[in-house]
Amino acid sequence: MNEQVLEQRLKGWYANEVGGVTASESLRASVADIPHATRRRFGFGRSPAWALVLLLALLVALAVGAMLSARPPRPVIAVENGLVAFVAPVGQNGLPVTVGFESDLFVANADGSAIRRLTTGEGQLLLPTWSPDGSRIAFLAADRASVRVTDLSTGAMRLITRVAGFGKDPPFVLAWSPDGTRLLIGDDTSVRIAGIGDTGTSAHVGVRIIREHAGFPAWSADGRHVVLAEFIGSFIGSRLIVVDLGGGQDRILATQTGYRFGPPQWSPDGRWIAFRSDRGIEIISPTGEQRHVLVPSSQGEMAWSPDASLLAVSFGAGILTAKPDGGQLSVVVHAGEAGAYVSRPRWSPDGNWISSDTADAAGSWTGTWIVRPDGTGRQRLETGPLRTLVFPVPWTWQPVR
Amino acid sequence: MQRADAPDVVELEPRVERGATARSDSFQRLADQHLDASYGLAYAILGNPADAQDATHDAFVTAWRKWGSLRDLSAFEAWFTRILVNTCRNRMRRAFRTRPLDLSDELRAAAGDPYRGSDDRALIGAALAGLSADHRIVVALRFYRDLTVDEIARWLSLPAGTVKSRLHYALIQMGTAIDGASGEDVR
Repeated sequence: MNEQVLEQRLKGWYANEVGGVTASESLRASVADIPHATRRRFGFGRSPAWALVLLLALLVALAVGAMLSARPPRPVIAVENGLVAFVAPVGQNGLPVTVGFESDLFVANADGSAIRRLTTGEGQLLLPTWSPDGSRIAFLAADRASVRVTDLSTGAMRLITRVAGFGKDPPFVLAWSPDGTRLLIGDDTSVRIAGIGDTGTSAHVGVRIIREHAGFPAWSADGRHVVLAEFIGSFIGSRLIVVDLGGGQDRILATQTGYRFGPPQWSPDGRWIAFRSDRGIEIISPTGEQRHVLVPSSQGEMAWSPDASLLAVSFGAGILTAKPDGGQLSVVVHAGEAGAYVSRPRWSPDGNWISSDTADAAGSWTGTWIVRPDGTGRQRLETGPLRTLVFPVPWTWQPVR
Repeated sequence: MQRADAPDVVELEPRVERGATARSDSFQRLADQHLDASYGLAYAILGNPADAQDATHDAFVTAWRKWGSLRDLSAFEAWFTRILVNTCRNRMRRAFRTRPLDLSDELRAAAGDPYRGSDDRALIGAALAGLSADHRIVVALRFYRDLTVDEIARWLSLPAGTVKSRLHYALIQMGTAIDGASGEDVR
């Protein structure tokens, strides 16, 4: 399409869809109240009335808390699998909150108890990624344009590398090697590999680029190869490539134009690589000899089960699970509340559960659900009285130690 | 290193208003003056009224918290737009990068839908929704707010080349998406 024509269509679209919109009266009132609300929050000490209100509120909160804590506990499904990690804004009490301007890294039991804050004042954090042994978490410090690793036992945090180009397409990827000694870092310019040793405190042995103009890296199960998507020009196309970290010949598995490959994922048994193409969710053998479409949809995210027997794919309000050899969809699981969009399917380390995040029609996160692969046991993760405060952003399972 | 959501600190004039009341008055006056335009920009970036309302409110909260760093009230629009844009960007990053479609739509599209691509409004909207946060922001500032590349660069504290590049790639991506959906020749 001609660029000028598109520009005109865009201007027309904005004029029709957005032109003339006005803020609602409720928004106008709430914005006008911002200075007063802020002053009230910090200025209650000036007025005895505010002190009384605060005291009453405290008493009510204590009473409600006591009532809630007396309720029978909800089923705790995932605690036996260890902790969950998440990033969230921090409230004045040091606990995670749903809205804020900076974020910190937290771990907690999967029922929301035992919340522990691991970072302070690092700005906006993204992509908490567990090491395979569950002892460390890598994350992206977006404001500081760097990748960092924190050790759960010591609390030590290390800068791994600076990153540039964050915020552009494709999304950033962090991936630990199966032995936990290296970290793959993919942004929109290159795929890098950082050697970081086998403990949280050992000095890392450097960062090197393994492919330019590439992203979406994923490890093979043996840690000897990396599959990634190489981008041919901007939005022109891409190639799926297996890189031999031992210095052998790289292998081009697939090529397509007009559409970028989505993030490939190597199955834990090493037999298949799942990826998103313009044909749908496909799998291909690492040699490239076998390839077929599993799900005829180019949307959705996917995750291999720990035993590689199933590939979970999010779609609409549910999750498909597909067997790699059969090439047929095997189960459709309704994974969240009705009408929700489901994303980020993740398997519990024992393979007994699939968790997923749900969003409302506006794309705002609404909850985390778990369901068994056969569709039974579907439930929203309950986190007790702090449910609305805990897990305000999607979390990730801690691997089994 | 400068934070992504750090405001411009404009030191053109000494602060002219002091005291809580003056601060509050000037904030409320400027907020009211720019509220509709700010909400419209948030709507143009985020694509739905609920998110736009939340982002606009959050941006004004941030603006109030950082009010002391605004030395020149005449610079409010650029200063606040940057806060608003960062708020929208953070909101989009926190939301899901890929919103899966209902599979039935995909299957119907794969099978061939005679009406597919006939709705220009939906095509443009879908193509915009497929852009990254940074691309949507520059497209909205350029074609909704009608700012020049240099103005966008100055307001967002970005090199003009970066803005140009983002606009270029955003338009290519949109064009490819629209051509693909409507069956037009990509060239």
